[in-house]
Amino acid sequence: MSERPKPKTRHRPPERRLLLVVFLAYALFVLGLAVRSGEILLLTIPFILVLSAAFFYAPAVPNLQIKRSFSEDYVSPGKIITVSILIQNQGESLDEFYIEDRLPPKLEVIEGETFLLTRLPKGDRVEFHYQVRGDRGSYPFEKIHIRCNDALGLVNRQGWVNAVGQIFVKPAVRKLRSIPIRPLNTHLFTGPIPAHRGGSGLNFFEVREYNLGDPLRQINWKITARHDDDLYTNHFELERVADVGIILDARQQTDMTIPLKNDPDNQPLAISLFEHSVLATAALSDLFLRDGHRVGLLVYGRGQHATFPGYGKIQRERILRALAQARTGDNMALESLSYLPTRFFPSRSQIVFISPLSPADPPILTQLLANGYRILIISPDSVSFEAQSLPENFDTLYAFRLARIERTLLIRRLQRFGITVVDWQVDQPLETILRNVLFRAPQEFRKLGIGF
Amino acid sequence: MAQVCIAFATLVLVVQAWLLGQRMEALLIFGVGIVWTLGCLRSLAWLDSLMLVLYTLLVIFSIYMNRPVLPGYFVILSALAAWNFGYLNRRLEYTSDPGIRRQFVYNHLRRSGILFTIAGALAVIGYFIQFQLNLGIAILVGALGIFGLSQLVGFLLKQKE
Repeated sequence: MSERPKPKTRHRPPERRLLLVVFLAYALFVLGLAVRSGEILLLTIPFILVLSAAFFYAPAVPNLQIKRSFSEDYVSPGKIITVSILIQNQGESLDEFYIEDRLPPKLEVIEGETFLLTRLPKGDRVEFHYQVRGDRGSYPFEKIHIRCNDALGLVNRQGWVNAVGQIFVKPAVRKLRSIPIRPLNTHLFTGPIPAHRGGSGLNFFEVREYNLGDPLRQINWKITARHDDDLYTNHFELERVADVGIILDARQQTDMTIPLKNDPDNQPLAISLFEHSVLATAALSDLFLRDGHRVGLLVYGRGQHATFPGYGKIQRERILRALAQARTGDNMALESLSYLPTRFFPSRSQIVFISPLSPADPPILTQLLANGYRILIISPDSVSFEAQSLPENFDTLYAFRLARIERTLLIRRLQRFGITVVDWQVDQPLETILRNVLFRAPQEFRKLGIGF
Repeated sequence: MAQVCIAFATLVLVVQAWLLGQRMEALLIFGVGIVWTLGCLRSLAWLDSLMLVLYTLLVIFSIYMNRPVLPGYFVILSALAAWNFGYLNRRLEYTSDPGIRRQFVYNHLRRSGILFTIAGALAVIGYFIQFQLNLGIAILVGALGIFGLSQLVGFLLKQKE
């Protein structure tokens, strides 16, 4: 048994059948009168009858209640969502009722159809479902198209019904191991950051005179033995949580999109460097929140979309929701980082800037550094990323080298000011790169052969 | 069903032409019939409409050649039926539910059946009345026809809004 052929297009515009019948009826009528032929006039009868049928069977004004619902509206990438549409006819019976849900772009239908053609008697209700899947992003659903025809398809009524809804597909969160950050300011709560103050902790900080209430097991007996009367105790460095502000660069000018492959319908698929930045942002915000820090997010590009600083799992969901909606865009006012709202980040806190970097960025970043912020830059390597899509020839080889030199100089310029820059080639795991850069021993130690 | 209607309309025209010795015309009409039948399998809306116009022109040509009108009238009816069934087939592509498909087919057949029965009855009545068209009747019929059609089209367009 052969499968039912699918319509070539999901939505076919209504056929102009009425126009054709009217044209033929008029043409035969005029011709019959012009040549005074009763036989030709007789031929108009079938057409006039068809028009009369359209007159009698014309669909009534539809009175419908339409509701769209989702099985879930906030999901991980690749998860299948069932969309249900419920239609209730509160008006006259409809011989032929066609409804089509307009999908947001980039959402893929996995199962079912986004349209339904049915007969809808008075007071009846009908429901249909289809399943969709999408990559990271927000998918707003707006209007639903409806059309009512008579049985012969001559007269139709069509319109749009508002049924607003939205699906959020959050970015995948990769678990990272803790990375060292050293903001100048910390909070009161215990966390992983050494606070440069003595107290209870793990790392030795100082030796001081014993005070009443200090634990006896922390008394430093060697130093105490050298003194006659006083007791001395070890003091450890306090470890605290801090404020971390993550800035995701969503400027169109710093983004890069390369073709990935062609799908069977010959529609080119592309992958964007920004997607890697989003994944890094999700992983880092998850890491900092797990460590107990207060984390805020600023998506800087098309606008300035801020998620105010907060703690814990709720904040994590807030950030992931903001990342689901993050898109690159052009905004002339925000082409440079000059309008970065620094007040959004508490003073002397840690800023993590995730950006492929542009040549105009260093002055603003060094200004932030001068204002007391500690800056860590995670920079997806746009040069290597773009080189994947270019043909291998003499010209591209030299262009690649020049671009690489330019980028290296830009990074070195930032590093000279004391900004930590992680140059991330996106085909390698972020965790490996972070460990290579952030857990590396200082240069002086490396010269002496300590560390690596 | 559409193919049956096309075959009937084509056969009538072919036989008419063949019996009057117009072999080339008969072959040409046969070819057109084959094209329409094959087009039906591809669900081409524009081909159905084009063929309806073409068959109407062929019937007008046969009347011009003084061939009997009643077969031509039934050719028009068959072409209209084929045009309607073509539309039904295209609609049925949108649904796989057997219940809904059955309802559509039933509804369509019922309404088409009523329509074409009335059309057939009117044809027979018109054939037996055999009235002579003079200028006065022509003007009267013309005025009434144009007014009626205009009203009908106006109403239908208003319905579409």
